[in-house]
Amino acid sequence: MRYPLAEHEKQSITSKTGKKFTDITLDEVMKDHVAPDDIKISREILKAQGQVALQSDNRPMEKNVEHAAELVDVPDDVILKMYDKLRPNRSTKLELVMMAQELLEKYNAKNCARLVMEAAEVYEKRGILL
Amino acid sequence: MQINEELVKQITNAVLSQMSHTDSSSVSGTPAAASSTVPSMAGRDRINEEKSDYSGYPRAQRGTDPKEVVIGVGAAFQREITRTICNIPLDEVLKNVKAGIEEEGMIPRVVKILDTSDVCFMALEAAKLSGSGIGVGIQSKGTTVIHQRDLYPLSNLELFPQAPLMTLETYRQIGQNAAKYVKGEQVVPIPCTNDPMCRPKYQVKAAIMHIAETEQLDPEVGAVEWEEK
Amino acid sequence: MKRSKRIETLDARPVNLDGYINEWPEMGFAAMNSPYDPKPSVRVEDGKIVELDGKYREDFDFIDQFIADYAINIERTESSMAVSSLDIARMIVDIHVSRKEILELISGITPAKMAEVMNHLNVVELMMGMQKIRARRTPGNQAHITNLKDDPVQIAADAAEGALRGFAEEETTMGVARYAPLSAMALLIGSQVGRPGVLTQCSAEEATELELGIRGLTTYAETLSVYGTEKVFIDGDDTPYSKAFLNSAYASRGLKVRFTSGSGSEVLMGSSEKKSMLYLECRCLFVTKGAGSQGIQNGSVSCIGVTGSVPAGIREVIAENLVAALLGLECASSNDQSFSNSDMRRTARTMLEFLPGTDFIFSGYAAEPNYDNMFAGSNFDAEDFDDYNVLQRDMQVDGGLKPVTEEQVIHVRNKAARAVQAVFRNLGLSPVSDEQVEAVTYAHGSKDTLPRDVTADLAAAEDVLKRGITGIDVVRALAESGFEDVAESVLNMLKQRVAGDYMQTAAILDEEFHVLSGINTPNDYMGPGTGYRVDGERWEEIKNIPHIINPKDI
Repeated sequence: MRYPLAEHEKQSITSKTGKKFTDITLDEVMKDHVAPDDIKISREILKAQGQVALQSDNRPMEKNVEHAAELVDVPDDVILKMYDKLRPNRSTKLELVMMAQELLEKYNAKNCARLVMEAAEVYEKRGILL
Repeated sequence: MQINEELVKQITNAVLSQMSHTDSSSVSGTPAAASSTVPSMAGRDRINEEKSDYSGYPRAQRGTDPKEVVIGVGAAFQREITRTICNIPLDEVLKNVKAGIEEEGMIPRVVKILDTSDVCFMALEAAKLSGSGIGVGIQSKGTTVIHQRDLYPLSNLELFPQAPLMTLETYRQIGQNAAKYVKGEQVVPIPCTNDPMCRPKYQVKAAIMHIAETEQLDPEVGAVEWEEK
Repeated sequence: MKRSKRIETLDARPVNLDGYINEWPEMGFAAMNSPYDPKPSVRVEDGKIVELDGKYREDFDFIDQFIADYAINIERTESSMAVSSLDIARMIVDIHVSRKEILELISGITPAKMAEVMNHLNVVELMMGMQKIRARRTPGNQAHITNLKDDPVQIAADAAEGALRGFAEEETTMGVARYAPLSAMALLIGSQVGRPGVLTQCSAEEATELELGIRGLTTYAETLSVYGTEKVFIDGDDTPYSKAFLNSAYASRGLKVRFTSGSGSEVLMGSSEKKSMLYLECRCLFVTKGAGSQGIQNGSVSCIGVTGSVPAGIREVIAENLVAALLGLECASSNDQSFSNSDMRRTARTMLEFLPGTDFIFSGYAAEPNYDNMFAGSNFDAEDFDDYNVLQRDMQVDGGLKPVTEEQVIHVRNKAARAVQAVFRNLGLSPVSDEQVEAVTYAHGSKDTLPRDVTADLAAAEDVLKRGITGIDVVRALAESGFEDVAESVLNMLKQRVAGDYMQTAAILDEEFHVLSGINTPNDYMGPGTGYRVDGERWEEIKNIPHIINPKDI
């Protein structure tokens, strides 16, 4: 996909719910046809932005976007809770491991699960687990 | 909670095997004094050579009185540091916060926090020790936070970040407001004050005072009951 | 001693009200280098960095480990580290070596090496580096929009005026943290009244900020703070891993995010591990890069009183800005905190970013009088608007702002205040009176406005969160109250997160919501005759300041 997507790929962009980018208009909002979830990004578009980052030699950003794509379907409150559990001195090792398991099994978020497992190891080594 | 090593291993393996087929393994990835008259401190590792010993003090306990507000003071409070950054005696600061709490019918208790010098964490620790769940953290330089035990550490009920602008009247109001949170009243936060020129004048002094406080920490001891006059 | 009148006069000058301190490396009071800074080194085994800047993997703290695993390009590291620091420094100022080449080389070096490279550059060379390495072709600017009363109506009016004056991004924060939902909403509305396409954020506790972002009450986030020592990172209630996760969380909702760091914080928080401010800041920036962030706000930021107090402190500030740019990060280069009592000193400090241009020269500029600035005062404020515009005109430099007329200012302030009044009414939030709208329209700062019912406002703020009010509700409320154009703009801002273009490096939006980033409008400076030059329409705009002599009037 060609960057900026909103200019070159307008017709093929859809949101997380499958709503067409071009259908997100004030008219549609006023008819109650646009829900908050309709203005969330989709996995596909995130992956496309990841490719844009990669083309400009920005591998860490591409990785981040890859993680993000895995989190698209994780509900807001779950994401907030997970972030909180990853803060220092908030979790036992078991809790972090369970979180990785949840990411892996429930959301197929393998890269995120790996980050959490790594954090569990590092936190243990540095003494910032409960 | 017991860590189940078996489970840890299991999940690690599951994560790794999931990773293996996609892993690219590329984890890239005071003014006017001429500086020549100020002796160099370079080479010194501490501000105060002596470290106070609190191991003989009674450890702070979690209170049960629902009317209690715990005030958590900094490690150097009333010892190595006796005045705030703008020269208010710490004895007076404490007296006023306590008076404010009492005026609203609540009961103050003072503890000294020795495991952190960060004002938000100090206040949260005070809140967790407090029978009511409301705590006040006061650093020796005067920075103060009102906290509640179930909030995020860096969140707060009220924060007074600009220590140089604090007055005894503000400290009294802080005590009063802390007590009002306990009573569950609709509390009007103390109006903010702001002096944009605080930073250039006071920030270095603040850093030095904070270092002096931090070097008195003793995490082994944690928090102790504190009633210095 | 009988006093010299000359020395007495000098002693009374504003510059002598500032705080200064001698170097004291043991406590971290060392700007560019400390005798305790590590020597650069790297060793790779089995595709993993096992030694970083003199430390072995088993001794890594969580910052070292995160940097080793995520921030350094492992394929390039051994060859990059083999190039001498002096050679890298020379390439940075050599107009024949492109930005791209330098960034590739830099992607393989370690934090200690980066600090060593910076120590070879003087301030003019650091500025030359910034001119070439900045990500976006055109410089930009960001405003702080706050007030002492946390008055949302004033936030909207100041946001509208700020947007009109040219700020591409606007940031708010609160005296009372619980005001956040109202502040965010007012900023979002006001900004779009002033100039469609301005990005907005609300600086709050991390989890709150994320929630406001997800709900569409803000359009980007900035205060993802990182620190240079493990102890201070923990005091900041985060780790590189939690920050990386948070960054992905924002990205999963399509939001633009920028991290925040800045020298001096480790000193101020009492845990510098005897290292120089520059070296610790390099660690912060490597963590930021490793977390995959598109950018950073840095340049000492709120700790400028510490960095500015030591010798070469201000040289260190532009050096850390340049380090950010060298890592390919968008750099919002601070200048956002009151720093000196001396007008001369505070202006000189800003010239280091103003003259070469950065992605955001200020992060931000107080678009209200400094007494209303709830970030404890910015380096420039609303009373400096004309000075700033004249500086742009004097030097033919694009500092991101433009002169405006009184009629325009009054018009946008009034419209923004009315829009907030209407939205609050429509959503059943705390009332805004016509008198308040009138006062805010013509106000300079909160001393000229009416008091708010704080209890009602805080109840309304809580209500916004409880009822789950989102950006879409704001769009609807605006349209239903006759502000269709503003509704359209707010909706367009929300749509950005569906396309995600503005998540890329150094992205801003023009008034037609076209993205301008380091990807589609990259900095192409390679010496005289290349890169961004102030000319054409933009130059006419800058020239057109008020108070120009009309020869006919003489």
